[in-house]
Amino acid sequence: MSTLSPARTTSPVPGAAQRHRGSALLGAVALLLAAAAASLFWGARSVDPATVLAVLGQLPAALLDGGWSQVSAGLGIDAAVVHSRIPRTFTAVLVGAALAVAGAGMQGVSRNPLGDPGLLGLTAGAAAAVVLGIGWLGASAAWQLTALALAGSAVAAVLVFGVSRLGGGSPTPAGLALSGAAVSAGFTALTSSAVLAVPAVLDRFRFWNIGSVTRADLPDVAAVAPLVLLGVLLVLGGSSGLNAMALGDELAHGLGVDLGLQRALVFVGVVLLSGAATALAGPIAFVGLLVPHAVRRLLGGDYRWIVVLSAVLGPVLLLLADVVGRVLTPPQEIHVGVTTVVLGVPVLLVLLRRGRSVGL
Amino acid sequence: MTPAFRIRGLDLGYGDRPVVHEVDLDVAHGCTTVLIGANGCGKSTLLKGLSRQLRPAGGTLEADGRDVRSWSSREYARSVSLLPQSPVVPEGLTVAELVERGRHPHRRWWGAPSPDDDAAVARALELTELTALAARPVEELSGGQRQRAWIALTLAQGARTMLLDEPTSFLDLAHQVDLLDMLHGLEHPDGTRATVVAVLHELNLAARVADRLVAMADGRIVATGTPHEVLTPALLAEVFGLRADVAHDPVGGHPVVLPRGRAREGSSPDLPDLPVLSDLPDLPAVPAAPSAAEPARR
Repeated sequence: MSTLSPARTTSPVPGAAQRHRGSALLGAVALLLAAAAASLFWGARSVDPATVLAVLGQLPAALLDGGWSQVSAGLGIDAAVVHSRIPRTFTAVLVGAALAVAGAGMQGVSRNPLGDPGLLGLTAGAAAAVVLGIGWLGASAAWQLTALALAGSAVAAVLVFGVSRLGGGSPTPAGLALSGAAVSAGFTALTSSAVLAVPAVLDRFRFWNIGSVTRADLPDVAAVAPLVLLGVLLVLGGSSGLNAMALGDELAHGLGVDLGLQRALVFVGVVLLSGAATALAGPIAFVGLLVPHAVRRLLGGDYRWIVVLSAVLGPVLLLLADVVGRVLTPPQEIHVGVTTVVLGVPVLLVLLRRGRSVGL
Repeated sequence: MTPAFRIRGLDLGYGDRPVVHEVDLDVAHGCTTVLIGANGCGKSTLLKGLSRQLRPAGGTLEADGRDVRSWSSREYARSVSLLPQSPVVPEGLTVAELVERGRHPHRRWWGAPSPDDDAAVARALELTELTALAARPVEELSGGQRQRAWIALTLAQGARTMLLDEPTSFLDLAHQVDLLDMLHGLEHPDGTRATVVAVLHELNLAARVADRLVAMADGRIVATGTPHEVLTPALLAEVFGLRADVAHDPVGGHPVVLPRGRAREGSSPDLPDLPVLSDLPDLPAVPAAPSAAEPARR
């Protein structure tokens, strides 16, 4: 407390914080472009940058002509490799944005800086639904898994809200976290027993259960993109309310916030986002926790900015993690679910260290 | 003039547990009204009713002449602000950012702060003497500074009426006096005095700051009036179960409550004093005390 530097106690220049955030957003967008370029140009197989540019140049015309299937036909191996990188780049962008924004929304709604979609059992619900679908409904197509994951998230969300309201009254952050833990444990148990009972499910589930951005194809990405967009808009719409709710429910009410409406808005957004992300890439941990937390540490606690910057920086983390996974052990690739954690943990630790020396 | 609140036969409660019964009260604009009463007497519940956190279970509650149920949330927040007992300090906010959140009911969903917002925040910081600390993280403030920051947030909200639930708890005496004097002298930018409704526990401070005291017991209003009218030995015995003398402050003339002990059911004023701390070392006497008290209870 006594280690304040004199500079921090001087009165602020009006609007300085806004400019600071504006440049942070520009920087984040530049990072995103760089990461996307890295994802297209780098891989386990080295491809001449000119080929990459050529393939990218043909892409718009080919898509207009006859859709994605036309594009991949009759190409050299290098071009085919580049083609395989395009959907995974889009997948990483969508999934990264979805997870990071879902985490931001969850942290706001549960007023818990460690909140992420996993906290409220949403990913566990999605995983359980996918396992049951694979095992008993014979689901295999991507859209089927997408629908299952979304349905699982939604069921988990309804359960969590229902359980947290058992005591009567509107759900409190603590009540949500507790019932989320209970529902999450229940779904995890369901998943484990299904996987143990039906060995055939185990093989496919084991594959699905490692987060990866390589499974989804462009049509899947296109199908899920509107859901992600809607989810981001919903969370963004509730972010102003989240700012007020961060001061406590009573004060937020006094500030004229409709708590139930704002919570529902954000919660529906989070369900859509985590369901969509899980459907495309399987469960990927840590993005939802790390990215909003990092943004808050760097730019302060305004949820409108936390959501916007999370939507940009989430993809950056996932793209970089994917690129690292590709180039680390060629020709083998490491799944992004693993590399995200490997990249994310040091970043989080550095942020926490910084936070401690500055904040307390 | 239309009163800030016109309350007639108001019942309030949680679920089917009624707490406040048939309250009639007019709260005038430009006054500081302080609710006093023992713990659990319903004063905080009444404040929750005034801030629309609880719906009236019966009776009428009008703010500025309109039934509170007919206001929209934002409209109400521009007219009536609330400082709850224990607001949450969010991570990573500076004092200025915290105070700016008080502008929520005036702002669009996005959009930069308007000149009105900036002026209201600057004024709130100035009134609470926080201008120099505006760029400090809220977590680094002392208890007194933090409470001033919450008051500043409530001020920045720009509502004509401010509801304060025990704004001085956790503050030392000097800071309590400081804060209440500031509240007492509060004026809106147009020069009119702010309307303040506060719950306070410290009776002498309440007497010092209040234009009107409202004493509550068991969910009902027992007395309203100036501090002189309300703070009488008889009322203190009834409301707080407190045996006390009331003196007058030679400076300012406020009533001063001098507690003498706990009043008992049907007790006479010349009851012997209750044991004081100095009796405690006399250990052999302690076991004897319950047996002596036993017959009296039966």
